[in-house]
Amino acid sequence: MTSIHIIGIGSPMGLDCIGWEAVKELQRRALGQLFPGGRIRLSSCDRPGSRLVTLLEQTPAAILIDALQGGATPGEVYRFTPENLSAYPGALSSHDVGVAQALALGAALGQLPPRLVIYGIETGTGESPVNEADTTAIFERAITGLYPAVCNDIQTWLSS
Amino acid sequence: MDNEQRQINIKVPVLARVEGEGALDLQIRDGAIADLKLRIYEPPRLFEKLLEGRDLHEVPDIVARICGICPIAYQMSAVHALESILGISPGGWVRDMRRVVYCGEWVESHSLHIHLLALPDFLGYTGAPDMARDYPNEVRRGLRLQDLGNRLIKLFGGRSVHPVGVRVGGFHHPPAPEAVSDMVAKLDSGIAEAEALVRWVASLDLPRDQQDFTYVSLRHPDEYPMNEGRLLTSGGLEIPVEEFTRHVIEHQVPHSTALHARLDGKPYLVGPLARLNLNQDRLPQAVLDVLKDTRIAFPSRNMFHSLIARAVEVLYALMEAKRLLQDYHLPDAPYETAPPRGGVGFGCTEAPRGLLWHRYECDGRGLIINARIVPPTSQNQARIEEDLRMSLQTLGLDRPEDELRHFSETVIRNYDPCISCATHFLKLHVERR
Repeated sequence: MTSIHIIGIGSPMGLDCIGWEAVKELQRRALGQLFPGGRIRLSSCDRPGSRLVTLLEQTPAAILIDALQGGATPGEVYRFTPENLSAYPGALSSHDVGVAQALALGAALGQLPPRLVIYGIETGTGESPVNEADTTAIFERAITGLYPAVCNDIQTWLSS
Repeated sequence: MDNEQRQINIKVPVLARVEGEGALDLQIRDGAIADLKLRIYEPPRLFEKLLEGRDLHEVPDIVARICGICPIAYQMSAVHALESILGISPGGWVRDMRRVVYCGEWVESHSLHIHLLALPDFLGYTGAPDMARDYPNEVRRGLRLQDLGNRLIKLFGGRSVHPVGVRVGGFHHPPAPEAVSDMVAKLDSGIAEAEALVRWVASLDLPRDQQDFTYVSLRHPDEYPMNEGRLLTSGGLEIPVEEFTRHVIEHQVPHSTALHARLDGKPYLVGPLARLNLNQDRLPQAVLDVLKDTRIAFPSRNMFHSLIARAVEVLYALMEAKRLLQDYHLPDAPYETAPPRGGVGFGCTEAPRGLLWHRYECDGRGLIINARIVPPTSQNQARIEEDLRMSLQTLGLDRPEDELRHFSETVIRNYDPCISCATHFLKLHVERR
Protein backbone atom coordinates (compact mmCIF):
# COMPACT_ATOMS: atom_id res chain seq x y z
CA MET A 1 0.00 0.00 0.00
CA THR A 2 1.45 3.36 -1.04
CA SER A 3 1.97 5.79 1.81
CA ILE A 4 1.30 9.44 0.98
CA HIS A 5 2.09 12.22 3.43
CA ILE A 6 0.28 15.53 2.93
CA ILE A 7 1.82 18.37 4.95
CA GLY A 8 0.39 21.82 5.48
CA ILE A 9 3.12 24.39 6.14
CA GLY A 10 2.50 27.76 7.71
CA SER A 11 2.33 29.91 10.80
CA PRO A 12 -0.52 31.38 12.86
CA MET A 13 0.04 34.81 11.31
CA GLY A 14 -2.69 36.01 8.97
CA LEU A 15 -3.07 34.10 5.72
CA ASP A 16 0.19 32.28 6.30
CA CYS A 17 -1.97 29.60 7.94
CA ILE A 18 -3.72 28.81 4.67
CA GLY A 19 -1.68 25.62 4.21
CA TRP A 20 -2.91 24.42 7.62
CA GLU A 21 -6.49 25.31 6.76
CA ALA A 22 -6.22 23.45 3.47
CA VAL A 23 -5.08 20.30 5.28
CA LYS A 24 -8.00 20.61 7.71
CA GLU A 25 -10.36 20.82 4.75
CA LEU A 26 -8.79 17.76 3.13
CA GLN A 27 -9.30 15.94 6.43
CA ARG A 28 -12.95 16.97 6.45
CA ARG A 29 -13.34 15.61 2.94
CA ALA A 30 -12.02 12.23 4.14
CA LEU A 31 -9.32 11.71 1.55
CA GLY A 32 -8.33 8.43 3.18
CA GLN A 33 -11.79 6.97 2.49
CA LEU A 34 -11.82 8.29 -1.07
CA PHE A 35 -8.59 6.48 -1.83
CA PRO A 36 -8.66 3.21 0.12
CA GLY A 37 -5.76 1.91 -1.96
CA GLY A 38 -3.35 4.30 -0.25
CA ARG A 39 -2.33 5.10 3.28
CA ILE A 40 -2.84 8.84 3.42
CA ARG A 41 -1.47 10.80 6.34
CA LEU A 42 -2.28 14.48 6.82
CA SER A 43 -0.38 16.78 9.16
CA SER A 44 0.60 20.41 9.59
CA CYS A 45 3.80 22.01 10.79
CA ASP A 46 4.85 25.47 11.83
CA ARG A 47 7.69 26.93 9.73
CA PRO A 48 9.82 23.80 9.61
CA GLY A 49 12.78 25.37 7.82
CA SER A 50 15.51 22.81 7.31
CA ARG A 51 13.58 20.34 9.51
CA LEU A 52 11.46 19.72 6.44
CA VAL A 53 14.29 17.51 5.16
CA THR A 54 13.98 15.34 8.27
CA LEU A 55 10.18 15.31 8.02
CA LEU A 56 10.33 13.98 4.47
CA GLU A 57 12.99 11.39 5.18
CA GLN A 58 11.94 7.88 4.13
CA THR A 59 8.60 9.11 2.79
CA PRO A 60 7.82 7.55 -0.62
CA ALA A 61 5.29 10.20 -1.67
CA ALA A 62 4.46 13.62 -0.30
CA ILE A 63 2.39 16.68 -1.06
CA LEU A 64 3.35 19.99 0.54
CA ILE A 65 0.88 22.86 0.79
CA ASP A 66 2.24 26.30 1.63
CA ALA A 67 1.33 29.97 1.32
CA LEU A 68 3.25 32.05 -1.17
CA GLN A 69 3.42 35.59 -2.43
CA GLY A 70 3.88 35.48 -6.17
CA GLY A 71 1.87 38.46 -7.34
CA ALA A 72 -1.16 36.55 -8.63
CA THR A 73 -4.77 36.80 -7.45
CA PRO A 74 -5.06 35.66 -3.82
CA GLY A 75 -6.35 32.10 -3.67
CA GLU A 76 -4.71 31.03 -6.93
CA VAL A 77 -3.00 27.68 -6.66
CA TYR A 78 0.41 26.92 -8.13
CA ARG A 79 1.72 23.41 -8.60
CA PHE A 80 5.44 22.72 -8.46
CA THR A 81 7.73 19.76 -8.58
CA PRO A 82 11.15 19.95 -6.91
CA GLU A 83 12.70 20.33 -10.36
CA ASN A 84 10.84 23.50 -11.32
CA LEU A 85 10.55 24.98 -7.84
CA SER A 86 13.74 27.02 -7.83
CA ALA A 87 13.09 28.24 -11.37
CA TYR A 88 9.94 30.06 -10.32
CA PRO A 89 10.71 33.78 -10.54
CA GLY A 90 8.47 35.07 -7.76
CA ALA A 91 8.85 34.88 -4.02
CA LEU A 92 8.43 31.20 -3.40
CA SER A 93 7.39 31.16 0.19
CA SER A 94 6.26 33.59 2.81
CA HIS A 95 8.66 31.92 5.22
CA ASP A 96 12.17 32.93 5.95
CA VAL A 97 13.98 29.61 5.62
CA GLY A 98 11.70 28.58 2.86
CA VAL A 99 10.49 25.37 1.39
CA ALA A 100 12.67 25.90 -1.69
CA GLN A 101 15.89 26.09 0.31
CA ALA A 102 14.95 23.08 2.40
CA LEU A 103 14.08 21.04 -0.67
CA ALA A 104 17.30 22.09 -2.38
CA LEU A 105 19.15 20.76 0.65
CA GLY A 106 17.10 17.56 0.64
CA ALA A 107 17.81 17.09 -3.08
CA ALA A 108 21.54 17.58 -2.54
CA LEU A 109 21.43 14.91 0.15
CA GLY A 110 19.34 12.59 -2.04
CA GLN A 111 16.67 12.50 0.65
CA LEU A 112 13.60 13.78 -1.14
CA PRO A 113 10.61 11.47 -1.63
CA PRO A 114 10.61 9.92 -5.10
CA ARG A 115 7.16 11.41 -5.56
CA LEU A 116 6.85 14.96 -4.37
CA VAL A 117 4.55 17.81 -5.35
CA ILE A 118 4.41 21.27 -3.80
CA TYR A 119 1.29 23.41 -3.90
CA GLY A 120 1.63 27.12 -3.27
CA ILE A 121 -1.45 29.16 -2.47
CA GLU A 122 -1.22 32.82 -3.39
CA THR A 123 -1.93 35.05 -0.39
CA GLY A 124 -1.22 38.48 -1.89
CA THR A 125 1.35 40.99 -0.74
CA GLY A 126 0.05 41.17 2.80
CA GLU A 127 0.42 44.94 2.75
CA SER A 128 -3.25 45.64 3.45
CA PRO A 129 -5.38 43.95 6.08
CA VAL A 130 -7.67 41.16 4.89
CA ASN A 131 -11.12 41.01 6.45
CA GLU A 132 -12.96 37.80 7.29
CA ALA A 133 -15.09 37.85 4.14
CA ASP A 134 -12.00 38.25 1.97
CA THR A 135 -10.26 35.44 3.85
CA THR A 136 -13.20 33.11 3.26
CA ALA A 137 -13.30 33.99 -0.44
CA ILE A 138 -9.55 33.44 -0.82
CA PHE A 139 -9.77 30.09 0.95
CA GLU A 140 -12.72 28.90 -1.12
CA ARG A 141 -10.94 29.87 -4.31
CA ALA A 142 -7.85 28.01 -3.13
CA ILE A 143 -9.72 24.82 -2.23
CA THR A 144 -11.57 24.90 -5.55
CA GLY A 145 -8.24 24.72 -7.31
CA LEU A 146 -6.37 22.57 -4.81
CA TYR A 147 -8.77 19.72 -4.06
CA PRO A 148 -9.12 18.26 -7.59
CA ALA A 149 -5.40 18.72 -8.21
CA VAL A 150 -4.45 16.83 -5.03
CA CYS A 151 -6.95 14.07 -5.83
CA ASN A 152 -5.48 13.80 -9.30
CA ASP A 153 -1.95 13.44 -7.92
CA ILE A 154 -3.04 10.73 -5.51
CA GLN A 155 -4.97 8.87 -8.20
CA THR A 156 -1.99 9.03 -10.56
CA TRP A 157 0.42 7.75 -7.92
CA LEU A 158 -1.88 4.92 -6.85
CA SER A 159 -2.53 3.75 -10.38
CA SER A 160 1.07 3.80 -11.56
CA MET B 1 39.15 56.66 -13.22
CA ASP B 2 42.08 54.64 -11.88
CA ASN B 3 41.76 51.64 -9.65
CA GLU B 4 42.32 53.61 -6.43
CA GLN B 5 39.43 55.99 -7.11
CA ARG B 6 36.75 53.76 -8.51
CA GLN B 7 33.47 53.34 -6.74
CA ILE B 8 31.81 49.98 -6.95
CA ASN B 9 28.47 48.64 -5.72
CA ILE B 10 28.16 44.93 -5.19
CA LYS B 11 24.93 43.12 -4.41
CA VAL B 12 24.79 39.73 -2.78
CA PRO B 13 21.75 37.75 -3.91
CA VAL B 14 19.03 36.99 -1.40
CA LEU B 15 20.16 34.10 0.75
CA ALA B 16 19.41 32.45 4.03
CA ARG B 17 22.74 32.83 5.76
CA VAL B 18 22.73 36.49 6.81
CA GLU B 19 19.84 37.38 9.06
CA GLY B 20 18.05 40.65 8.82
CA GLU B 21 18.32 43.34 6.24
CA GLY B 22 21.69 44.95 6.21
CA ALA B 23 24.37 46.59 4.18
CA LEU B 24 28.02 47.27 4.65
CA ASP B 25 29.50 50.61 3.65
CA LEU B 26 33.24 50.50 3.35
CA GLN B 27 35.34 53.51 2.42
CA ILE B 28 38.98 52.90 1.68
CA ARG B 29 41.28 55.89 1.43
CA ASP B 30 45.01 55.75 0.82
CA GLY B 31 44.97 52.03 1.42
CA ALA B 32 43.30 52.30 4.84
CA ILE B 33 39.73 52.02 6.09
CA ALA B 34 38.39 55.55 6.36
CA ASP B 35 34.85 54.54 7.25
CA LEU B 36 33.01 51.30 7.91
CA LYS B 37 29.37 50.95 8.79
CA LEU B 38 27.34 47.79 9.22
CA ARG B 39 23.92 49.19 8.47
CA ILE B 40 21.02 47.19 9.88
CA TYR B 41 17.62 48.48 9.03
CA GLU B 42 15.21 45.94 10.39
CA PRO B 43 12.11 47.81 11.47
CA PRO B 44 11.80 48.38 15.23
CA ARG B 45 9.86 45.57 16.90
CA LEU B 46 8.47 47.64 19.80
CA PHE B 47 8.03 44.59 22.01
CA GLU B 48 8.98 46.50 25.14
CA LYS B 49 6.12 48.93 24.61
CA LEU B 50 3.73 46.09 23.75
CA LEU B 51 4.40 44.56 27.15
CA GLU B 52 3.33 47.65 29.08
CA GLY B 53 0.02 47.09 30.84
CA ARG B 54 0.15 43.32 30.35
CA ASP B 55 -0.13 40.88 33.21
CA LEU B 56 3.26 39.48 34.11
CA HIS B 57 2.01 35.97 33.37
CA GLU B 58 1.51 36.95 29.72
CA VAL B 59 5.14 37.97 29.30
CA PRO B 60 6.74 34.54 28.59
CA ASP B 61 4.43 33.87 25.64
CA ILE B 62 4.83 37.37 24.23
CA VAL B 63 8.62 37.58 24.42
CA ALA B 64 8.92 34.09 22.91
CA ARG B 65 7.71 35.71 19.69
CA ILE B 66 10.74 37.98 19.49
CA CYS B 67 12.87 35.23 18.00
CA GLY B 68 11.97 32.08 16.12
CA ILE B 69 15.30 30.47 16.90
CA CYS B 70 15.83 31.37 20.55
CA PRO B 71 12.36 31.74 22.15
CA ILE B 72 13.43 29.76 25.21
CA ALA B 73 16.14 32.31 25.94
CA TYR B 74 13.60 35.12 25.94
CA GLN B 75 11.29 33.12 28.16
CA MET B 76 14.08 32.23 30.59
CA SER B 77 15.37 35.78 31.04
CA ALA B 78 11.79 36.96 31.52
CA VAL B 79 10.67 34.38 34.07
CA HIS B 80 13.78 34.84 36.21
CA ALA B 81 13.26 38.59 36.26
CA LEU B 82 9.55 38.32 37.03
CA GLU B 83 10.04 35.68 39.72
CA SER B 84 12.50 37.95 41.48
CA ILE B 85 9.70 40.54 41.65
CA LEU B 86 7.30 37.92 43.05
CA GLY B 87 9.91 36.82 45.57
CA ILE B 88 10.08 33.20 44.43
CA SER B 89 13.02 31.19 43.19
CA PRO B 90 11.89 27.80 41.89
CA GLY B 91 14.56 25.23 42.50
CA GLY B 92 14.80 21.46 42.24
CA TRP B 93 12.82 19.99 39.36
CA VAL B 94 11.93 23.33 37.79
CA ARG B 95 15.50 24.59 37.87
CA ASP B 96 16.84 21.37 36.33
CA MET B 97 14.22 21.14 33.61
CA ARG B 98 14.70 24.79 32.66
CA ARG B 99 18.31 23.92 32.08
CA VAL B 100 17.30 20.95 29.94
CA VAL B 101 15.02 22.96 27.69
CA TYR B 102 17.74 25.60 27.34
CA CYS B 103 20.13 22.81 26.31
CA GLY B 104 17.67 21.94 23.56
CA GLU B 105 17.75 25.49 22.26
CA TRP B 106 21.54 25.63 22.27
CA VAL B 107 21.73 22.33 20.37
CA GLU B 108 19.12 23.39 17.82
CA SER B 109 20.47 26.88 17.24
CA HIS B 110 24.17 25.96 17.17
CA SER B 111 23.62 22.95 14.89
CA LEU B 112 21.70 25.11 12.44
CA HIS B 113 24.35 27.81 12.43
CA ILE B 114 27.33 25.48 12.16
CA HIS B 115 26.03 23.37 9.30
CA LEU B 116 23.75 25.59 7.26
CA LEU B 117 24.99 29.12 7.89
CA ALA B 118 28.71 29.14 8.74
CA LEU B 119 30.38 26.04 7.34
CA PRO B 120 29.73 26.83 3.65
CA ASP B 121 31.96 29.88 4.14
CA PHE B 122 34.83 27.93 5.62
CA LEU B 123 34.59 25.04 3.16
CA GLY B 124 34.28 27.26 0.09
CA TYR B 125 30.67 26.79 -0.95
CA THR B 126 27.94 29.25 -1.84
CA GLY B 127 25.46 27.57 0.46
CA ALA B 128 24.46 24.47 2.37
CA PRO B 129 22.97 22.57 -0.62
CA ASP B 130 26.25 22.89 -2.53
CA MET B 131 28.19 21.82 0.52
CA ALA B 132 25.83 18.90 1.15
CA ARG B 133 26.78 17.29 -2.16
CA ASP B 134 30.38 16.93 -0.99
CA TYR B 135 29.74 16.53 2.74
CA PRO B 136 26.43 14.62 2.88
CA ASN B 137 27.22 12.66 6.02
CA GLU B 138 28.31 15.74 7.94
CA VAL B 139 25.21 17.70 6.89
CA ARG B 140 22.93 14.78 7.74
CA ARG B 141 24.58 14.58 11.15
CA GLY B 142 23.97 18.31 11.59
CA LEU B 143 20.31 17.94 10.69
CA ARG B 144 19.94 15.06 13.15
CA LEU B 145 21.51 17.14 15.92
CA GLN B 146 19.28 20.08 15.08
CA ASP B 147 16.27 17.77 15.18
CA LEU B 148 17.34 16.44 18.57
CA GLY B 149 17.49 19.98 19.91
CA ASN B 150 14.04 20.65 18.53
CA ARG B 151 12.71 17.53 20.21
CA LEU B 152 14.09 18.64 23.57
CA ILE B 153 12.37 22.00 23.19
CA LYS B 154 9.12 20.34 22.16
CA LEU B 155 9.28 17.96 25.11
CA PHE B 156 8.90 20.86 27.53
CA GLY B 157 7.52 23.58 25.27
CA GLY B 158 4.72 21.64 23.62
CA ARG B 159 6.05 22.65 20.20
CA SER B 160 9.49 23.53 18.90
CA VAL B 161 8.54 26.82 17.23
CA HIS B 162 7.44 29.48 19.70
CA PRO B 163 7.06 26.96 22.53
CA VAL B 164 4.34 27.58 25.10
CA GLY B 165 5.28 25.26 27.98
CA VAL B 166 7.22 27.80 30.06
CA ARG B 167 5.39 29.92 32.61
CA VAL B 168 6.30 32.18 35.49
CA GLY B 169 7.09 29.78 38.34
CA GLY B 170 8.00 26.77 36.18
CA PHE B 171 6.24 24.80 33.45
CA HIS B 172 2.55 24.38 32.67
CA HIS B 173 2.87 20.59 32.44
CA PRO B 174 5.64 18.10 33.14
CA PRO B 175 6.53 15.70 30.31
CA ALA B 176 5.49 12.08 30.83
CA PRO B 177 8.28 9.78 32.09
CA GLU B 178 7.86 7.56 29.01
CA ALA B 179 8.54 10.51 26.69
CA VAL B 180 11.60 11.43 28.72
CA SER B 181 12.90 7.85 28.57
CA ASP B 182 12.62 7.93 24.79
CA MET B 183 14.52 11.19 24.74
CA VAL B 184 17.34 9.90 26.95
CA ALA B 185 17.85 7.01 24.54
CA LYS B 186 18.15 9.47 21.66
CA LEU B 187 20.60 11.64 23.59
CA ASP B 188 23.14 8.83 23.73
CA SER B 189 23.50 8.67 19.96
CA GLY B 190 23.44 12.46 19.79
CA ILE B 191 26.35 12.71 22.21
CA ALA B 192 28.47 10.41 20.05
CA GLU B 193 27.61 12.48 16.98
CA ALA B 194 28.36 15.75 18.76
CA GLU B 195 31.76 14.43 19.82
CA ALA B 196 32.52 13.62 16.18
CA LEU B 197 31.32 17.10 15.24
CA VAL B 198 33.76 18.78 17.64
CA ARG B 199 36.66 16.74 16.30
CA TRP B 200 35.68 17.50 12.70
CA VAL B 201 35.25 21.28 12.99
CA ALA B 202 38.45 21.53 15.02
CA SER B 203 40.30 19.81 12.16
CA LEU B 204 39.19 22.39 9.59
CA ASP B 205 41.61 24.98 8.31
CA LEU B 206 39.89 28.03 9.76
CA PRO B 207 41.26 31.54 9.16
CA ARG B 208 43.93 32.50 11.67
CA ASP B 209 43.29 36.01 12.92
CA GLN B 210 44.26 36.85 16.46
CA GLN B 211 42.53 39.97 17.74
CA ASP B 212 42.49 41.88 20.98
CA PHE B 213 38.90 42.27 22.18
CA THR B 214 36.77 42.24 25.29
CA TYR B 215 34.40 39.35 25.92
CA VAL B 216 31.62 38.95 28.45
CA SER B 217 29.48 36.11 29.78
CA LEU B 218 27.73 34.87 32.85
CA ARG B 219 29.82 33.05 35.41
CA HIS B 220 28.35 30.56 37.87
CA PRO B 221 30.21 29.08 40.85
CA ASP B 222 29.46 25.46 39.94
CA GLU B 223 28.23 25.05 36.40
CA TYR B 224 28.60 26.16 32.81
CA PRO B 225 26.36 29.24 32.73
CA MET B 226 22.84 29.26 31.34
CA ASN B 227 20.20 30.71 33.64
CA GLU B 228 22.14 32.08 36.58
CA GLY B 229 25.37 33.76 37.50
CA ARG B 230 27.20 37.04 37.66
CA LEU B 231 28.54 38.96 34.69
CA LEU B 232 32.23 38.41 34.10
CA THR B 233 34.40 40.22 31.57
CA SER B 234 37.76 39.24 30.11
CA GLY B 235 39.12 42.34 31.83
CA GLY B 236 38.26 40.87 35.24
CA LEU B 237 35.16 42.92 36.01
CA GLU B 238 32.60 40.81 37.87
CA ILE B 239 29.21 42.29 38.71
CA PRO B 240 25.69 41.17 39.53
CA VAL B 241 23.27 41.33 36.61
CA GLU B 242 21.42 44.15 38.36
CA GLU B 243 24.45 46.38 37.66
CA PHE B 244 24.47 45.68 33.92
CA THR B 245 23.39 49.18 32.95
CA ARG B 246 26.04 50.78 35.15
CA HIS B 247 28.61 49.46 32.71
CA VAL B 248 26.74 48.76 29.47
CA ILE B 249 25.38 51.76 27.63
CA GLU B 250 23.14 51.30 24.62
CA HIS B 251 23.08 54.08 22.09
CA GLN B 252 21.64 54.79 18.71
CA VAL B 253 23.81 55.18 15.67
CA PRO B 254 22.44 56.86 12.55
CA HIS B 255 23.12 53.87 10.33
CA SER B 256 21.28 51.18 12.33
CA THR B 257 17.83 50.72 13.79
CA ALA B 258 19.32 48.25 16.26
CA LEU B 259 20.99 49.83 19.26
CA HIS B 260 24.74 49.52 19.69
CA ALA B 261 26.01 48.55 23.14
CA ARG B 262 29.36 49.31 24.70
CA LEU B 263 30.87 48.06 27.93
CA ASP B 264 32.57 50.92 29.74
CA GLY B 265 32.82 52.64 26.38
CA LYS B 266 34.24 49.73 24.41
CA PRO B 267 32.82 47.16 21.99
CA TYR B 268 32.54 43.66 23.44
CA LEU B 269 31.71 40.12 22.45
CA VAL B 270 28.98 37.90 23.85
CA GLY B 271 28.19 34.36 22.73
CA PRO B 272 29.72 30.89 22.64
CA LEU B 273 33.36 31.96 22.27
CA ALA B 274 33.01 34.39 25.18
CA ARG B 275 31.31 31.70 27.29
CA LEU B 276 33.90 29.06 26.54
CA ASN B 277 36.80 31.47 27.05
CA LEU B 278 35.51 32.42 30.49
CA ASN B 279 34.02 29.11 31.64
CA GLN B 280 36.16 26.31 30.29
CA ASP B 281 36.81 25.17 33.86
CA ARG B 282 33.09 24.61 34.34
CA LEU B 283 32.90 21.95 31.62
CA PRO B 284 32.75 18.29 32.66
CA GLN B 285 35.89 16.24 32.20
CA ALA B 286 34.40 14.26 29.31
CA VAL B 287 34.00 17.46 27.28
CA LEU B 288 37.43 18.74 28.31
CA ASP B 289 38.99 15.48 27.13
CA VAL B 290 37.50 15.93 23.66
CA LEU B 291 38.56 19.57 23.62
CA LYS B 292 42.10 18.65 24.67
CA ASP B 293 42.36 16.20 21.77
CA THR B 294 41.63 18.99 19.30
CA ARG B 295 44.78 20.85 20.43
CA ILE B 296 42.92 24.15 20.07
CA ALA B 297 43.68 26.26 23.09
CA PHE B 298 41.00 28.26 24.85
CA PRO B 299 40.73 31.09 25.79
CA SER B 300 41.11 31.96 22.13
CA ARG B 301 41.45 35.37 20.50
CA ASN B 302 40.59 33.99 17.07
CA MET B 303 36.97 34.93 16.43
CA PHE B 304 36.67 32.07 13.93
CA HIS B 305 37.06 29.65 16.83
CA SER B 306 33.43 30.56 17.57
CA LEU B 307 32.59 27.68 15.27
CA ILE B 308 34.45 25.24 17.51
CA ALA B 309 32.98 26.80 20.64
CA ARG B 310 29.49 26.19 19.25
CA ALA B 311 30.30 22.55 18.57
CA VAL B 312 31.71 22.14 22.09
CA GLU B 313 28.51 23.63 23.50
CA VAL B 314 26.40 21.22 21.44
CA LEU B 315 28.32 18.35 23.00
CA TYR B 316 28.08 19.84 26.48
CA ALA B 317 24.37 20.60 26.18
CA LEU B 318 23.52 17.05 25.14
CA MET B 319 25.57 15.61 28.01
CA GLU B 320 24.00 18.03 30.45
CA ALA B 321 20.48 17.22 29.23
CA LYS B 322 21.17 13.52 29.66
CA ARG B 323 22.59 14.05 33.15
CA LEU B 324 19.50 15.96 34.20
CA LEU B 325 16.98 13.63 32.56
CA GLN B 326 18.36 10.19 33.32
CA ASP B 327 16.79 10.09 36.80
CA TYR B 328 13.67 11.96 35.73
CA HIS B 329 10.63 11.91 37.99
CA LEU B 330 7.33 13.72 37.95
CA PRO B 331 7.34 16.71 40.30
CA ASP B 332 4.79 17.32 43.03
CA ALA B 333 3.97 20.52 41.13
CA PRO B 334 5.55 21.75 37.89
CA TYR B 335 5.40 25.37 38.96
CA GLU B 336 5.33 27.65 41.99
CA THR B 337 2.84 30.43 42.46
CA ALA B 338 2.91 33.69 44.38
CA PRO B 339 0.50 36.60 44.70
CA PRO B 340 1.28 39.63 42.54
CA ARG B 341 3.34 42.40 43.99
CA GLY B 342 5.08 45.46 42.68
CA GLY B 343 8.76 45.94 42.13
CA VAL B 344 11.67 45.78 39.73
CA GLY B 345 13.30 42.55 38.59
CA PHE B 346 16.29 41.61 36.46
CA GLY B 347 16.94 38.48 34.44
CA CYS B 348 20.05 37.67 32.47
CA THR B 349 20.60 34.31 30.80
CA GLU B 350 22.85 32.90 28.11
CA ALA B 351 20.97 32.75 24.81
CA PRO B 352 22.72 30.71 22.11
CA ARG B 353 24.15 33.98 20.78
CA GLY B 354 25.08 35.37 24.18
CA LEU B 355 23.82 37.47 27.06
CA LEU B 356 20.13 38.31 27.00
CA TRP B 357 19.33 40.89 29.67
CA HIS B 358 15.78 41.78 30.78
CA ARG B 359 14.46 44.31 33.28
CA TYR B 360 10.80 44.63 34.27
CA GLU B 361 8.91 46.93 36.58
CA CYS B 362 5.49 45.76 37.82
CA ASP B 363 2.77 47.45 39.81
CA GLY B 364 1.02 45.86 42.77
CA ARG B 365 -1.50 44.10 40.50
CA GLY B 366 1.27 42.35 38.59
CA LEU B 367 0.93 44.55 35.50
CA ILE B 368 4.04 45.55 33.58
CA ILE B 369 4.84 49.25 33.98
CA ASN B 370 7.91 49.13 31.77
CA ALA B 371 10.22 46.59 30.20
CA ARG B 372 13.70 46.67 28.79
CA ILE B 373 15.31 43.93 26.72
CA VAL B 374 18.93 43.92 25.57
CA PRO B 375 19.50 41.07 23.08
CA PRO B 376 22.89 39.59 22.21
CA THR B 377 22.95 40.72 18.59
CA SER B 378 22.59 44.32 19.72
CA GLN B 379 25.54 43.85 22.05
CA ASN B 380 27.68 42.30 19.32
CA GLN B 381 27.08 44.97 16.67
CA ALA B 382 29.90 47.30 17.66
CA ARG B 383 32.21 44.29 18.02
CA ILE B 384 31.32 43.13 14.50
CA GLU B 385 32.31 46.52 13.13
CA GLU B 386 35.52 46.45 15.17
CA ASP B 387 36.25 42.93 13.90
CA LEU B 388 35.62 43.95 10.29
CA ARG B 389 38.05 46.83 10.63
CA MET B 390 40.74 44.60 12.06
CA SER B 391 40.26 41.56 9.87
CA LEU B 392 39.83 43.40 6.56
CA GLN B 393 43.05 45.26 7.27
CA THR B 394 44.76 41.95 7.96
CA LEU B 395 43.30 40.41 4.79
CA GLY B 396 44.53 43.30 2.66
CA LEU B 397 42.38 46.16 1.43
CA ASP B 398 43.79 45.91 -2.06
CA ARG B 399 41.98 42.61 -2.60
CA PRO B 400 39.25 42.46 -5.27
CA GLU B 401 35.81 43.67 -4.22
CA ASP B 402 34.35 40.19 -4.55
CA GLU B 403 36.86 38.85 -2.10
CA LEU B 404 36.35 41.76 0.29
CA ARG B 405 32.59 41.24 0.16
CA HIS B 406 32.76 37.51 0.71
CA PHE B 407 35.23 37.87 3.55
CA SER B 408 33.08 40.58 5.17
CA GLU B 409 30.05 38.31 4.96
CA THR B 410 32.04 35.48 6.50
CA VAL B 411 33.08 37.70 9.40
CA ILE B 412 29.50 38.86 9.99
CA ARG B 413 28.00 35.37 9.72
CA ASN B 414 30.56 34.08 12.19
CA TYR B 415 28.68 36.03 14.89
CA ASP B 416 25.43 34.22 14.03
CA PRO B 417 23.37 37.42 13.84
CA CYS B 418 19.85 36.69 14.99
CA ILE B 419 17.41 35.24 12.50
CA SER B 420 14.38 37.39 11.83
CA CYS B 421 11.67 37.21 9.24
CA ALA B 422 13.26 39.96 7.18
CA THR B 423 14.63 39.51 3.70
CA HIS B 424 18.32 38.76 3.75
CA PHE B 425 20.44 41.13 1.84
CA LEU B 426 23.97 42.36 2.21
CA LYS B 427 25.03 45.10 -0.13
CA LEU B 428 28.69 46.09 0.01
CA HIS B 429 29.53 49.57 -1.10
CA VAL B 430 33.27 50.05 -1.49
CA GLU B 431 34.59 53.51 -2.15
CA ARG B 432 38.28 53.79 -2.89
CA ARG B 433 40.00 57.17 -2.91
